[in-house]
Amino acid sequence: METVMVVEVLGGHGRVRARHRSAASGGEVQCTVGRSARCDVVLDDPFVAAVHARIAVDADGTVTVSDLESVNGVEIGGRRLHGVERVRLADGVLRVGRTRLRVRTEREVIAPEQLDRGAPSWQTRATERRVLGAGVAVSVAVTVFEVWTSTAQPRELPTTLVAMLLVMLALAGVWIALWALASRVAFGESHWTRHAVIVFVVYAVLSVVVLVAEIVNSALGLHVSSSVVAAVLVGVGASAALSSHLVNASPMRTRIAVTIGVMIPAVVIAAILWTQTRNQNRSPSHIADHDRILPPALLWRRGLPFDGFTAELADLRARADARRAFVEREDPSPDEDDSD
Amino acid sequence: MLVLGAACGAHAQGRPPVAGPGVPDTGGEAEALRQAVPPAAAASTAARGILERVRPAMIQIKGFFGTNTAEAFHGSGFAVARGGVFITNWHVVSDAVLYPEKYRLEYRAPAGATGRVTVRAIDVRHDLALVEAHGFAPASLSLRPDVAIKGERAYSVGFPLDVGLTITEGVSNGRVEDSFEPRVHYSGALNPGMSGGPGLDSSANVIGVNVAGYRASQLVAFLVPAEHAVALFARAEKSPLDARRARDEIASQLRAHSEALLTALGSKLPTQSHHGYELPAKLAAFVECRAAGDPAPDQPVHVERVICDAKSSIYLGRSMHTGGLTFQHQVMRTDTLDAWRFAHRMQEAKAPHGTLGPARQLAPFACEQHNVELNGFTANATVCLRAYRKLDGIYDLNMRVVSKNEAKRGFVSSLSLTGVAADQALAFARTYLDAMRWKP
Repeated sequence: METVMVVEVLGGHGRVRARHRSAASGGEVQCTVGRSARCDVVLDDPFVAAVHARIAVDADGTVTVSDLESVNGVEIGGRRLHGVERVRLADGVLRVGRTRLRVRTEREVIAPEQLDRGAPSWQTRATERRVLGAGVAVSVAVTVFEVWTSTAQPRELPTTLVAMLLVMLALAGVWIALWALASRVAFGESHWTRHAVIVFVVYAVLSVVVLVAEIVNSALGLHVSSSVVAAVLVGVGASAALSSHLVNASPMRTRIAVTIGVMIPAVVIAAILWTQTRNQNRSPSHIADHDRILPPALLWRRGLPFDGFTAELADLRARADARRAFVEREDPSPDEDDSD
Repeated sequence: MLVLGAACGAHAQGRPPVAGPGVPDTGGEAEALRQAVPPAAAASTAARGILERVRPAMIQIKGFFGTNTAEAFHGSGFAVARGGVFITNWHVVSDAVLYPEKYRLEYRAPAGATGRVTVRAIDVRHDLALVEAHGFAPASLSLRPDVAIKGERAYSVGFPLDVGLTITEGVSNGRVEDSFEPRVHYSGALNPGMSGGPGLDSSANVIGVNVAGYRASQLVAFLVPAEHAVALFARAEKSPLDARRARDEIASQLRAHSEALLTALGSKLPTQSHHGYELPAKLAAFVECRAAGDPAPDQPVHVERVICDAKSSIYLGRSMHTGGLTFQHQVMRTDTLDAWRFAHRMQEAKAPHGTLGPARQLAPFACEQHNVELNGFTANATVCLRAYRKLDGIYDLNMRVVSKNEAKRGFVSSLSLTGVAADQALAFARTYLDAMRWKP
């Protein structure tokens, strides 16, 4: 029966840079490792001797390593050994110089073949490009709308518009390039389109949802705290974007990537909201405004009748007193500020 | 702006100017004027004589922080009754009344006598205080309760800038017209440190108490009419100030002030039409309104701003003025912009909102914001109330109203009332809202 050994030279992220297969029938198979051309596995590592070590697999599949009197020895299981003879290699991994080697034998257990259902239909290149096109179109449309409504002097619209779009595209470009670089380092592929899809789709969906939320809030006269709603929506969008970027640009497992992608924006947004609320609850000058002025045609619900409105003011005094009691308890002697 | 750190000089009032007794008719006034202007040499002799008569009744009042021997602030005072009773300004002694554990008051007479000062009564509204100088009881000055007529020779005495007892010579311009709080307009120099000193006529009778001068203006200064010193003296006799309940006393005086102010404004407010919107206008003679706009014809949005101030604010304490009433309207209209872009301009116009104030004195606002149906139009109204942390039952009200009925016209109006009882403030806010009307 034939004894087989494959020595794999590992690179960064555990990727296999080279493979060397040796076989011998009916007994032990051996190979030498070193920088010399005489060796079976030739390494390019200055910390490796000309003929550094010998790896052997016997008929039972037991892997052993011998140091051939190298200066740096061999590292097995985190321990560096010098001048050893036939030391057993339990997990098949050793380090020679600064190079990691993995020894595989026919005895290793192979995981069953995974069923390939094919990539989901929406993950094809063509769909990706179509989604990117839609994302860019909506993002540009939203930006154009914002610039159009906010430019004070209509004749300045073209210059402002061009400047804003260039800034937006430049920022998106830099962001996409950074993630593409990360993908390239991790997987050797840039995934330009995918990172661009993530940026533009998230931006487009987020700006549309925030705009719609503000319009509904004001059109129905709900007066829900718009800054909190906007912060939560931005947090959700940022989580989605960051998770997707990480999944596509880092070798970590999907679950970990998503957890990190969700946690970072959540913590940042929560910290900002908490600080802001804390300051507002103590500031004598803060007045929250939860209303956005819209064209009157969008006012879908009539306002309160005058008497109903004044009735709503009945408990204002009690609420002001409660806020006074709160600051007297929580913040009895604030710094003398200069905001008077 | 204010030299003496006192409550606003041009104070507001609800009644018409009161003429002093013996006001001559127009022809006689010219004659009286001619007689009242003495030759230069005589004038300086008169000032010297008045200073000699007033000097024994004057004290400089000094405030000290903790056990320091270096002073924290100072002002002037003059004797108004036997037994060492002096009049000065509330703003001179306010720190010692509000923070008695931190500040102490002492006097120093021109002759060199010194001693302790205690506050016997306060009148926050008119910026007066009645104090007792322990161990110093000179003859008092006599108070003249009527207002000196316009053009009458007048003098002011005090300790300006710590340079010693000083007299300045000027002219009384009578009671300030269109002022909520009564003030005598004194055209003469009034400098920091002279607060609380007497304003005098040529017979050395007290016609008022120095309160304020404007740094940017020349020789425009104000005196509190002597009648209020008389009233304060009477009140001190009846119910002297309990130092432990000083804040309650201040709160009740503030409530009285705002009640008088809001009563003077009445329950039906006059309005002015701005492009179809009837909005509260000059509410009373003492309310000062200014209107302005951008004259450039090619602006996409035409904006008019009206700012009104009742000039009723009074000095409460360190960097705190209260008792004020201000409101402003920003009326906007466009011929060229569409509804979305005009809405955005309105949104920007309403952005800065709220009134600043020291966090030590004021609690945060509690607010109600709703769309409300006013007379003929829908508007968004935000009504906010904040309590004073150290004064029970005193509040600031801030209200903003934004019209929501028209695509190319609209206004943002805001009202600020400070140092007022909550119920009165809310009732006035209702009146203010009720006055608004859409009459295209």
